[in-house]
Formats: sequence, structure tokens, C-alpha cells
Amino acid sequence: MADDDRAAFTALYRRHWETLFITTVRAIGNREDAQDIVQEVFASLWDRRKALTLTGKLAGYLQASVKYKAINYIEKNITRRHYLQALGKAAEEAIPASPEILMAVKEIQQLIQTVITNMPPKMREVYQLSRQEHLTHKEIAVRLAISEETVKKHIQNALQLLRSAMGKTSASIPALLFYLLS
Amino acid sequence: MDVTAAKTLLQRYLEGDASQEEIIIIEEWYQQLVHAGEWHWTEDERQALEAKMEAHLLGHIDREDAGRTERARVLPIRRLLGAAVVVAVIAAAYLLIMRRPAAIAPVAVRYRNDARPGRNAALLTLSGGKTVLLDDSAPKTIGRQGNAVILNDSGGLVYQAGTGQASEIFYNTLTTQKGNQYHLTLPDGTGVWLNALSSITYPTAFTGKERRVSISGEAYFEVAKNQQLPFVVQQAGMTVEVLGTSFDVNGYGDDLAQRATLVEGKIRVGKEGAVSVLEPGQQAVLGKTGNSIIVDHDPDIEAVLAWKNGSFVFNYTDIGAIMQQVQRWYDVEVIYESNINKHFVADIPRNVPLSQLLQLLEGTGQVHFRIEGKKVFVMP
Repeated sequence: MADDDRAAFTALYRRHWETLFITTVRAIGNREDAQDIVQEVFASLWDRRKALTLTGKLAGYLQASVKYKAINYIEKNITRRHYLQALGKAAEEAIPASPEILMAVKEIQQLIQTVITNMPPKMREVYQLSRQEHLTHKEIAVRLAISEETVKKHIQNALQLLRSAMGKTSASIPALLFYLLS
Repeated sequence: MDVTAAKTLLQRYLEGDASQEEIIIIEEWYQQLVHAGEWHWTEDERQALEAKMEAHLLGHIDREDAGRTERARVLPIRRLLGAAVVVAVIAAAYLLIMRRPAAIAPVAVRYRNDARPGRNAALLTLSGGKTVLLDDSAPKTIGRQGNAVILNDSGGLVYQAGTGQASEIFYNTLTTQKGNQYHLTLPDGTGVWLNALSSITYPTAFTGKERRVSISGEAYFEVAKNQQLPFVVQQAGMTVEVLGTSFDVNGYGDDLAQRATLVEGKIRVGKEGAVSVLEPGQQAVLGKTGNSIIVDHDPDIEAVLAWKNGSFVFNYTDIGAIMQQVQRWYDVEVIYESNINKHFVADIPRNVPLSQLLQLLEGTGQVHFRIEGKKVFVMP
């Protein structure tokens, strides 16, 4: 491993860690868990540094990754704190989306698309038919001429890939090309 | 919101299954959480945490397996397929076991009539109010205004500047309705492509310190180089200032945002005091209210310029955005029979009749249409 990689990565980390950490700790309300989230995102980025293609800027990718993991965390702990109330309120109010929000929407879609693009073909096909075309497991099984059990397994693996791909590396994700620093 | 509903919504977001509206709600909610959240620390605490996290990360780096092999590069699926072939491939795959909902009648019954694609036509309003309809039957020489001779030929209006200083400046306006598009050459040689339901107001000669025009809707510019006179495009509160370059400006009334996309050269985009300078390939996104400008470093240039190049390009575009474009180009009204959250990938020429475009989309089995007069009904 080249020393250059390590030095460049350290510089990158120093530039971004604080903003990412503060945003996360404010969102989830827990310091230790926020530390874990930021750490996992950087560790995962390092693990995939040789081959990760990012569409858009690196900073945006890091922010989207950290936010994804934070929302993942909140979903698991939804009954704690004020998350529920705030979500209910946001759903009720109909605020016209600002450019920042529209950009955030695009970044998260790109993030999820990156993971989908890198799924093994069969898994991706099943996942897309389920989550994007909204077919039932039975309908997918018929269409692809496979068993419902196989469909279920593909979906489980796809969701696991999604939920974990944002953090700790899953060895089965093939990677793309890395652009360090913006 | 109860726990179940909240978990479902969040799961859909995390699994890539949420609609645009749902994602917006979650993004707004997250933004609120961050704004309302509290975090205080002393400088000592900050440094301690920084050191701790860095040590942890370096530990991870050092533990890495040095014998890792390079992984193969995987191309996103869209780049593997030629764009023109994409819709056909998707349709073919679905044809294998295509399921038609029992209630759907055949196309011959559902499409009562067809709609022509848009064509080259526009209305020219000369200063003083006189209007000239520009279509197939319009004359080749329209007349003179100030120092310029106005010529018209095959979908393009040309202002030929005369020699010498213009004694008087007149303002003309070129307007397109739904189903129209037109090309305009300004007195300095700048080329303008005007999309449907748009307009541009411009002087018959460029004098003074800048070349200024204003538009509504969408236009694509190829600006003639002139270092002395910057070219400025105005649209609602947004100004786009250029030196000599190619870019697209888009801001329809029913859209969420205004956008300026730069192809070549350099432009400066401003609104109410906020300014952003773009490099080629970038897009500035502005909200309808307020003055914040976001720069998108990776817009879908192909999709943005598709109209000017004679096609529709949909790259995982949702049906709402597709039908908005259909509405303007085919001059129809779109009515949704139920909430549809589907996305499409397609590359379709713009000069096909409406029935052909709709049938291509129907080929995916994900959406169906009915045409009745000027109304298009969208159903699952």
C-alpha cells in the first residue's frame, strides 16, 4: 500500500470529519453512535479506494453516506426521542422543496443507485422488479421462471447489501474507480 | 404519525423504494433534526475526539490486507446499451411473460385519436405591437427594424445587422406555443433554439455595455464571442452572464426550479445578490423563491439537451416529468387516473406522433394511456 494513499486519505479525513460528525450527532442525538457512523463511512471509503466511481463531488457522497447511516440508525430506534414527532410534522407540512433539498434528493438517489448498479445481475433484476416496479414475490417468480424462495433470498441479500454497503465493506461488492479530493 | 407508518416510510427510503415526494419529506425532516439538534463541546473535547477517531481510522488502514487483488470494473447498465435500443430491450424482456391487467382494452379502442408532434412555428411581435406568424407560409423577408433586416427560412429567423451604428433600438419578441419550436439568429450572430411554450425578447441591435435578452420557458444559446460586450440572459429573477459560449436555460412556471446548464465556455449565474460561476458540464439549480444557488457537477447533459437535438431522453425519469414534456410538445392536457410512481429509460425521436411515443412507454407494461381529443389519461 502506497504511503501516498495513506497521506492523501488522512488529509481528506481531516478536512471532512468534523462537519460530518456534528451533523450526525445533532440528527441522532447520541455521541458514541455518531462516532461509529462517521468512522464506518471513512473505513468503508478506504477499503474501496482503489475502485470507486463517484458521480458528483466526494463531499456530497460523504454527506449522503453519513445521512443514510443516520437514518438507518433512527429507523431501528424510532421510538426513542423525538424522531417520530418531527417526522409526522414534516409529512404534514407541505413546504416547497428548496434547491438544497432537491440536491440532497439527487445525492441519495445516486448513492442508492451506486449500490444497485454493483449488485450481481440476478440480484439486481429481482430487486428492481420488487422495489422499483413493485411486483409481488409471486409475480417476480413467474416472470423470471424461478422459485419464490429464490426471489425471497435475492431480496434479502439485496437489502442487506444496501443497508450495509453504506458502512462496513461487504466483500462481495465489486468496485469502480476512485477520485480522491475534489 | 404512528410507529408502523414511520418505519415503513423510512424503510422505503433506505431501500430505494420511496417516491420523489416521500424522499423530499424525509430530507426536510432530516434537515429539521439537524437544525434543531444540539451539540456543544470545548476545544479540549474536540481535539480529544479528533485524535481518538484518527487513531481508530489509521488502525483500520494498517490492519488492511495488503494482498488484496484489484477488482474488475463494472459499468452501469445504462452505458452498456445503446440509447436508441433501450426501450426496445426493456419491452422485449417484458414481452416474455407480459401480463396485461384484465380490464385493459386494446390500443385501437383506447386511443380515440392521435396528436401530431410539435413543429417549427412561432409568433414574432415587432416593437409597436405588429405580429407576424412564422410558419410554413410566412414570407422569406419579414422586413426591417432599425438597422437590421429580418429574414425567415426553414424554422429559423435571422437578424442581419446593417453596417454603421443603429440610430434607434427596437425590441422584438419571439413566442412559441405548445407544440412549437423555433430557431433565432440575433444581430451579433448568436444562435438561439427556443423550446415549446417559451419566449425571448431582444433588441434589433446590440449597443451599449452589454448584449441583454430575456426569456421565459426554455432556450439553448450558442453565443457569438465578443470580449467587449458580455451577453446576459434574464429569466424571472435569474441572470446568466456569458462571454462566448453554449448553454441551456430552463425555467417553466410549473417546475420546481430554474436551471442553467453550461456546455462550453463559462457563465456566471446570479439571483438577488447570489452568484455562481459555472465550468463546462455543470448546472446551476435555483429555487423559485429565495436566492440560493446550488451547482450540480454531474447533471444529465444528454437529457437536458435532448430537445434541441430532436429527441426525448429519459434516464430513469419519473412519469410526471415525462408527461410534463409531452404536454408542452404535443399540446395536450394530462390527467392521472391514479397515483403512478414509475420510472422510464428511453430515447425517442421528437418528431413521432403521440400514439407512437405512448405505445413505446406502454411496451414496458408499467403504464397505459387513453387519448380523447386533447386529453391524455394516464393509468397503471
